[in-house]
Amino acid sequence: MIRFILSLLTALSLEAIEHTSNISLKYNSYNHYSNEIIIQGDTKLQLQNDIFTTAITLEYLYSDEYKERRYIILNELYFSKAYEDYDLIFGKTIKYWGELEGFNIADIYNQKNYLLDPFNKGAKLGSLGFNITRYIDEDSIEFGLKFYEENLKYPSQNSPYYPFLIGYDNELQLSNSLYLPSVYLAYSFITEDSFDSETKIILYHGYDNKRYFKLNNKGNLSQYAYRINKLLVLSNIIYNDTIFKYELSYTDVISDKKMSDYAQISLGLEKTLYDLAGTNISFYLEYYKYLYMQKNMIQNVDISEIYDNDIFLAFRVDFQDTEDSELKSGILYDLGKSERVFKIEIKSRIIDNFVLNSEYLQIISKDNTLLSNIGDSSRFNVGITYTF
Amino acid sequence: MKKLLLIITLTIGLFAQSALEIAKKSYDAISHYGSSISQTTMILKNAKGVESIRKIEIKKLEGDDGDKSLLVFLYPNDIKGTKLLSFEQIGKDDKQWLYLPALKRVKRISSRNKSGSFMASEFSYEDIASQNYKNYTYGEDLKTVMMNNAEHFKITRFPKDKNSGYSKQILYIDTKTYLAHFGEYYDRKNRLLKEVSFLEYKKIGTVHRIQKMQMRNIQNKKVSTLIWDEDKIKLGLSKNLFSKRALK
Repeated sequence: MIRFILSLLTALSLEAIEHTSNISLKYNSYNHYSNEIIIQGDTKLQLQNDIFTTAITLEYLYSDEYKERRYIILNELYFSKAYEDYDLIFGKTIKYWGELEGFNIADIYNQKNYLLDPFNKGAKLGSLGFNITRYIDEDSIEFGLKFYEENLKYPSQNSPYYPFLIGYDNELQLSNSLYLPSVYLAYSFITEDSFDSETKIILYHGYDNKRYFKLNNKGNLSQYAYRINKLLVLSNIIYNDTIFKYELSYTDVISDKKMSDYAQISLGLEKTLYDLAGTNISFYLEYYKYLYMQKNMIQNVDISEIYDNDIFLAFRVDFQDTEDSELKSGILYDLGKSERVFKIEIKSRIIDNFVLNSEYLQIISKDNTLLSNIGDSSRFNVGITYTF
Repeated sequence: MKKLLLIITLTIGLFAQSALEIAKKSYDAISHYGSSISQTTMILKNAKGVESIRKIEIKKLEGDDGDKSLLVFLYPNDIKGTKLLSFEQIGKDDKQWLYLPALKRVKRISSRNKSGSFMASEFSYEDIASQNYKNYTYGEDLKTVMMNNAEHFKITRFPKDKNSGYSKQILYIDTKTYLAHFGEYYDRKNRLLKEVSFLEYKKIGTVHRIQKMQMRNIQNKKVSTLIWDEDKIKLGLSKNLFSKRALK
């Protein structure tokens, strides 16, 4: 693959203009599974010729314990061209649609990378597509097309993040053709009159990012993708030094009779206190609600459905030191079932290119819930990342 | 006698100016650059003298209603690619967005963080922002003083922004060039917090550009020095380079 990329770059007379690589060595300790040592990293390249810019992201993971947690993927490879008022992008990309901190119901363009970490917001798989964006001052209109749906891999049955009781086959089943594209139209605008706000409205037609599971002809579970129309609205509003945020979605299922239409609501606020004993402390309060429009249909098959009648309380301490030390901690609490997910992360630069990081995650779930199936009940990791 | 008359005339001439007029002339001396791209190095020295380095690319665009700036963090490598876009708004809170490359996220941030440290340095966000004279009111205690064998105006200015970390700033401005050379910044409790030295200027065309400045925190003994390694002005940069589009 690397040889192919190098040949392609030479043929296109591309010249590297930016390069960043991260490589991490981590020790993961789980309370119900074998511990592991992982090597995880990525290389990002940006290249340019007279005509266009190319971005490449290569990601890899190697676990000494779990064979399925070993991969190298070309997660992004796209070509972009900027005009005075337009941007064109073609290729495999990762997008971020979201405003809230705990969970983004609007972040639907890419599938999650479950092999890496289902609890990491940044663990996403690139999607192949095309988009054109027209800019009008600070507003923009974007039209995009996603060419096909990706198969999704899960770790093996004996690994910490395997959510099923039987075997899983990563070959996707679909209601329509794999290559029937999904399309979206996004309008972003700002208002400055009564409130200082930014809003994005997205109309999405195509395969839902939420999938459910069906037995295939080999007797294994595999994911099933169906088509939907979806409306997404996400916004932030600044009032004094507080940021109010919301993400809303409504999904009309059009090609499957087992899946209910559904709506998601999330509301949040963020407030930062500056220069408290030399630190900045940000507080986050968020609420998520999931609504099924028809009852007695398929429920609790996707990680997004955990966020139902949940509050998320978190804080982030920026120590304002030369090591850029940071402490983040949060709890997701289900108001109905009293389930809890607690996470604490700390990181600090030890010398110029090395960052020490550590994380503790604990899930306190109730029996026979989606959360109880998703992962190990607690994990701890410590690692060091070298960036060059 | 003639010499005495000359001194009196000069002195009257000097004090015929108000602190506001001097501040405006001082601002004018460093303004009218249109747009700029600068490669900078920041050296942070703690109380024990241990140094660490930051590198930042600073793009700026002058505007009648406030300047726009885009800061791209280049070093240390783990924060490389992080970008901070700021729109100065005279008389209102500025607007700020942060681009986090790991998530590909453009995040709106509250711009009330005037007093907070910029990249763990002794410079605060308001120290590195445009020093537009309109953002301050001025005291009437205008004096001339000798510093480093040169005559300087000593003016006192008070930030209009109630979120400023400073109660007042005393600036020493060269009476010939109208360039600020030294300053004393007082915290909200009116205690001396920092001393700033504008150590080096370069004249590009008619515009004076700061090339080296140092901030010494009197209370915690830390020192930060900002050095302009490369500085280009009047580049005709498009406003598109200072929009959220530029953050992606």
